[in-house]
Amino acid sequence: MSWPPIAWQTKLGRRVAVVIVLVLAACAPAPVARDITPPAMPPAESMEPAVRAQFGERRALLDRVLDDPEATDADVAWALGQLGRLFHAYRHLDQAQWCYAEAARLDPDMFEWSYLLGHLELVIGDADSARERFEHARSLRPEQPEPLTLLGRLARESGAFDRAEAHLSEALEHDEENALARYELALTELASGRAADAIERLRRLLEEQPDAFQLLHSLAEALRSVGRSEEARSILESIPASAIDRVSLISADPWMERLTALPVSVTAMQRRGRQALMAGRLPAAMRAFRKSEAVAPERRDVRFNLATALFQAGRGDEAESHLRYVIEHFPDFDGAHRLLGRHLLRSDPEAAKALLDQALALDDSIENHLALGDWALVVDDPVTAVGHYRNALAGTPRSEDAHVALVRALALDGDHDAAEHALAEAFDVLPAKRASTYLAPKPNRLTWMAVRFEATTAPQAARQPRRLPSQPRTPFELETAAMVRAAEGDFETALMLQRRALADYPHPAGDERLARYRTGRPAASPFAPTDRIRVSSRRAVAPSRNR
Amino acid sequence: MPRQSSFFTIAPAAFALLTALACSGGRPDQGSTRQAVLIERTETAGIDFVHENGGRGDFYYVEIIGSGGALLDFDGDGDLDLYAVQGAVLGTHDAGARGNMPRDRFFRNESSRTESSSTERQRNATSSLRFVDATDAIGLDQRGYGMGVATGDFNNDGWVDLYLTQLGANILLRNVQGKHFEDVTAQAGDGALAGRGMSTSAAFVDLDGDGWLDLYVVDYLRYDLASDKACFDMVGLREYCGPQSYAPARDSLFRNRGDGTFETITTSAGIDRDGAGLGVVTGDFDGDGRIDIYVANDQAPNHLWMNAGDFTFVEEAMIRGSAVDGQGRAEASMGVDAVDLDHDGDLDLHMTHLISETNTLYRNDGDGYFEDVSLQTLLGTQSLRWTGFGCAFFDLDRNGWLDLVVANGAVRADPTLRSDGDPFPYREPNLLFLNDGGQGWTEVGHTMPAFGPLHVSRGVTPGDLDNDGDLDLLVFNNRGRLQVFENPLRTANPWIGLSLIDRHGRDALGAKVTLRGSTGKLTRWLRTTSGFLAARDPRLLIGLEPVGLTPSVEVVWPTGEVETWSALMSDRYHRLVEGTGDPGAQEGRP
Repeated sequence: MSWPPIAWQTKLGRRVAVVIVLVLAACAPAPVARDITPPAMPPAESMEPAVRAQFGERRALLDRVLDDPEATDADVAWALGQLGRLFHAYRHLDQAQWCYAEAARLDPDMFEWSYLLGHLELVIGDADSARERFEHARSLRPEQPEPLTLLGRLARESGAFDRAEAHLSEALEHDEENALARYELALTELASGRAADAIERLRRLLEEQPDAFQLLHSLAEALRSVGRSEEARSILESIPASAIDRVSLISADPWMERLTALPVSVTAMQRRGRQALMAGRLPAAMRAFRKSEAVAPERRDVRFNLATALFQAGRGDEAESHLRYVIEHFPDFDGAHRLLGRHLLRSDPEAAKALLDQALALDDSIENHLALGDWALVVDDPVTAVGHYRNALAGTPRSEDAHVALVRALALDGDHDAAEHALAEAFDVLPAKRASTYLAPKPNRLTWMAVRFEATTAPQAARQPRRLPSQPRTPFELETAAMVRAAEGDFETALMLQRRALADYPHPAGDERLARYRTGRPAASPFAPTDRIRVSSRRAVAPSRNR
Repeated sequence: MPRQSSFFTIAPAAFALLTALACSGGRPDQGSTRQAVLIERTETAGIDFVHENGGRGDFYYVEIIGSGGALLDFDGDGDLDLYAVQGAVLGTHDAGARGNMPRDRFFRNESSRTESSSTERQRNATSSLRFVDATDAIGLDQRGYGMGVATGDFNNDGWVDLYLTQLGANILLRNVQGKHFEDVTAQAGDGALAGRGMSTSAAFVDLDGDGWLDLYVVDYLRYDLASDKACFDMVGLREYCGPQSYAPARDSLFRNRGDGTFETITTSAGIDRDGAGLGVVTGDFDGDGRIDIYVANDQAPNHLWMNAGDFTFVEEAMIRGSAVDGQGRAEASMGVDAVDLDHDGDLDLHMTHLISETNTLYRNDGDGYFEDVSLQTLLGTQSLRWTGFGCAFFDLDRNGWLDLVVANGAVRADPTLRSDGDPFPYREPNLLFLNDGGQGWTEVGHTMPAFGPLHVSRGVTPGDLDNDGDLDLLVFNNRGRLQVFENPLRTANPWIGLSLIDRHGRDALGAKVTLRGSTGKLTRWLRTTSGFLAARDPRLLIGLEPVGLTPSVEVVWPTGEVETWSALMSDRYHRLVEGTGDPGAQEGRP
């Protein structure tokens, strides 16, 4: 016996079909009504348009998903997570935490929500919860070093050094170059009494990131912990005050990088631009500042920072219009007078002098004295320059910029004794190791200047082959290295180095030195008016506006 | 050999408890086993001071910083009077008639002061804290934009004087025999004594042991209203700027010439570094007998000016491990206090910081070198969520271990409060940490109804307002009312109170006291600076539990003289006058 075939067109058939559909529908993962009330949005009317659009877009996405009967939990989690990331990026932490937590609850298999939530909880001091989030994230993506590194940090901070080391070692198995994991491992070694290992690890990291103050500080602490206090002191004292805390350890974290790239407000763009400027990434800085200018062309910091980036990029004429705008609308801001004055130094010294005088009248600051000193050198008046540099030093005795400028001005004035005396004073105040010891942990401009003096005013002392303070990179350092080699009689190397320097920065005094090396003569003097010594770009940037 | 310290060597179980308490993002939900004890008495005590920060929508930077106040015995009647520092209306906004303009206020303490009545109060759980507004009565008419205040008898006439820090010129007020204050700024020093810009905290301290109080003034930024800048938050809303929008200022040091006038010695003393300073604390950090100066700088490395003698100082914070945190990051330091937290006889340091930074606890190794141990305690982890300003260690429960109050208040608007329509969305909860006998901390502020309403708190100062043998508390709130908290302590824990009076008849600021008993030793230092912009009770109130009932009391006077007292009765205040104790070993000054 067999069942009669069901004819779909019959009444019975239609009934059976309806039942099947209903059963299937009942078995399918049907959307359920979700009791989700998203956090309040920032007041839209006060936000910048671009930010408002960002929030509106992500909120609309969430609303659409919540209204969509076909949307799955993962869909809702995704939309919540995106909104959470935006809140996180704009530092609305309570709102971000709520969004991430909901997203992680609805889609526990998504690495990103747990990881970002752990990050956020770490920042607000909820270490236990953060640990759980990172453990979960690690279980989802065991190959990622980031959660392991943070688990290691948490373990170290709680005194569980063995566990910390295990986490960090595992992180390094996945990414042996991971700077943060290596740094954390060094701190763990230090905390667990293995200072020698920590010192070695920190030294290796410093070779890769020589400007990271965090590393220098930790190295000094490690040295101190084993009684090598003088070395520690030497390291700490060699760091210019301006550099402290400016350059942190750089370690890649793609999730956090994506997060920090999200904000588009003027404040965010300004921050991004400043960071780029300090890192010497001028095109990126200009891009960020131009975006700010498009939104807030009336803001002083926006126009000034853009001008600074343009000026440093050699586009002084473009910078000038922005500076003139700032001077017109914010006449009490000395920075614009100073920068415009610097721009006009050579093309219109008279106008430059007026601007720089005005800047000094507005603020009797080291920067303005330095600028006036530079102007005096341009008009071939080293005596006046020396006066300004001394004024700058009187106000800020530990300014490396001012010491460098003073030594150079005295040398240009032909008073090498005074210049060397000033250099000695600089080393007293900024006790980086003297050039002759070549032990400066991070050679600064003063060290290189001292090398120049040794190579030119005491050539006999330089006859012995010398180790340079570090690999020469800038034109100033390359030319200094050339002077040393020429003083040693190695003119072939000196010529090579001098050519490299001139390729980056052609100038008459450099050409003259090249000619001397060709004929087997060492450099005649340590400095010439056209020598360009690196000026700290940090000073040119408008300060951070917000905490 | 490493020194053993019960406080910093936390047993695993105790650490587990601490970390458990640290969860929930700041304010733990778990019930505390320790009872919080402070009760707000502001209204019944007669205090009606409301701080005017000048905020009218202009976001002047100065609005968000102040303010503080002082506890001092102005009239020499044995109880603590109150000086409250006021802000002002700023810019072009109409301040109204002069009579209605905000001004500093002085409240005279009229609380009952007898032993029996205080005992009765404890029994009846009532309060007799009473203050009356005596601003007019003493002819006080200070209407500048005030920030903080330091207390000290600079002219050795036996009456405690005030140094007021302000936006603009600072003011030295001489206490004229407990009758009124007289502005003697111009007579007592050169123009630098008044200063300019934006001073914050200040400290009277005898730096050379000559018996005359010198003065250290913390200057914050090169700022005035004309230089104020417009800043915006991440979404483009107006917001207060940060300190890096302005150039940091240099602090000032004034030497007392020995006749009540001051000589500016900032440069000759070697104070040659700028820093956006907010808090200051003085003490002998390296145990060499000289008083050093520690300055908490905002978003810049802190300064530790080591006293090299002859009024010369060398900045050594970086080398000594207290300039930046344990990972080399300069933090936004605000308030600072220094006490012997682990009972090893040296000064440890605690600083308050911005949200997302720990409040930082530096452990002193005894030689003036510090280690950041913040993350090993609840003090660090619990603070990450808030922005701390004032802080003060005091023995709230009189068990001989110092507790800690932290006054919080944001400098960036809280998005949630702003969304809720809060007109001043910077409020945060204050924190009160009880010291669990050196084994850890318990935060009890969240259990206290009195700490429930949120404020934007700044200065905080403890003192025994009703002379009942326990420490009460004042909290100064920005754009809010000054709060008075009474400590209705009901414990039999023995205590001793000490007034340390030098040969000139004034509080011997800088004196070091060591109590030695059958069960241990306690060390305290006398100073009146209190964390941030505030001045505290000039007496020491010490719980005796760790040392036993009748300890010997050794005082090292600022001159270096050492004296001891024995068999002092517990549970009462004693007035120890220099020259009346048993001579001890001479410490002297190197």
